[in-house]
Amino acid sequence: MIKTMTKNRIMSLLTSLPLILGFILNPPLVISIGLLTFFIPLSSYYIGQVLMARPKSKKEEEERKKITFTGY
Amino acid sequence: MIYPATNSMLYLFLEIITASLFAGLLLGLHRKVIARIQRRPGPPLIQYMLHTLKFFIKELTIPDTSSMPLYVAIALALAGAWVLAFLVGPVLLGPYIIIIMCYAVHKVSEHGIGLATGSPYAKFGSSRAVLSATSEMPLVVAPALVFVRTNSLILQDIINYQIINGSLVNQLPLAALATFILVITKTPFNPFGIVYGKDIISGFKTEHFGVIRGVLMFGETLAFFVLLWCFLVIFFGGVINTPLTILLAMIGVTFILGFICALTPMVAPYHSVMIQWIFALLAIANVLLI
Repeated sequence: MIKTMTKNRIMSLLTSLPLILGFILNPPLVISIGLLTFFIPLSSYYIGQVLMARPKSKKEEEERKKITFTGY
Repeated sequence: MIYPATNSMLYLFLEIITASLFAGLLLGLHRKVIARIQRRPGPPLIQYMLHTLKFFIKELTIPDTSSMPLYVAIALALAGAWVLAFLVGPVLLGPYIIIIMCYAVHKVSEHGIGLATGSPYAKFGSSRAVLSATSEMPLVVAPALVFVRTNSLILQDIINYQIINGSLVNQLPLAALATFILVITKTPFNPFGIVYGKDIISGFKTEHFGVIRGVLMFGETLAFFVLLWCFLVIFFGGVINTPLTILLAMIGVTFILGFICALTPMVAPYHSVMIQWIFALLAIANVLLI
């Protein structure tokens, strides 16, 4: 789980980096459009992965995965 | 130019965020209008925006039956397509044909999103997305008629033509009506929304939660903004051609859309296709008669 969190943090940083660099370096219009089209959804996906609610421990994860039958 | 021309990437980024937030408010207004007509208090105006943001911090569960790379990538493709459409259309006033291509990507994504989950409910939505794609005739007919009139599909040229010759709605009223039908189909709770019908749970999005759903909703808010903007600028460009008039007109059209969605029941899938085809044929008849 910790590995997944670290991977998501790295990926969110890597996918946000082209956008941040673009804001600073101000590339030509075509490149700007390409970067925004590709990296806005991608970086928001990975940032969301970092922000999202997760079980904090292995025990919590197991608790969460317990199936409770509610009549279905 | 309607918007100040700039190549700054930060400016373009801020434009995207602003448009997305504004479209979120419009969709909130749309729900409010529907609720008031049905004598309910309805959610607050910012509800749609909050709903979108909420999904970014909700847990993402990927079904075991899904094709994981496709499950994620196709949803991101939908959002990416509308980011591109927004930049080419409202920001840069570029070729309208690219917006149509982005719309085509949207339809393919709807189909792919449903299929990628492996869920039967989502597949129902996905099959209906194919059916609704066949009804998108106004999308092709209206630009063709606009091209016949203006000899260009560049949005800037279309606006310039209208400033000189008057709004296209006077020359092609039925084409404008056909495009308006298209805008209706992209509004939540619309009568032609067979893809989102409650009889198939949430359609192709049934299995999409968490950040993926958030990204999808972000794409859909941009889609609503772009289509509304295109409708207003392409057919009322002679009058509505400043940022303020466009924003006011968008609010007005959202009110009208709210009334339509509140008072019209959802039609059957077959009828949805037929009605949209009839409007497309009427638009063609319009250009032959003039």
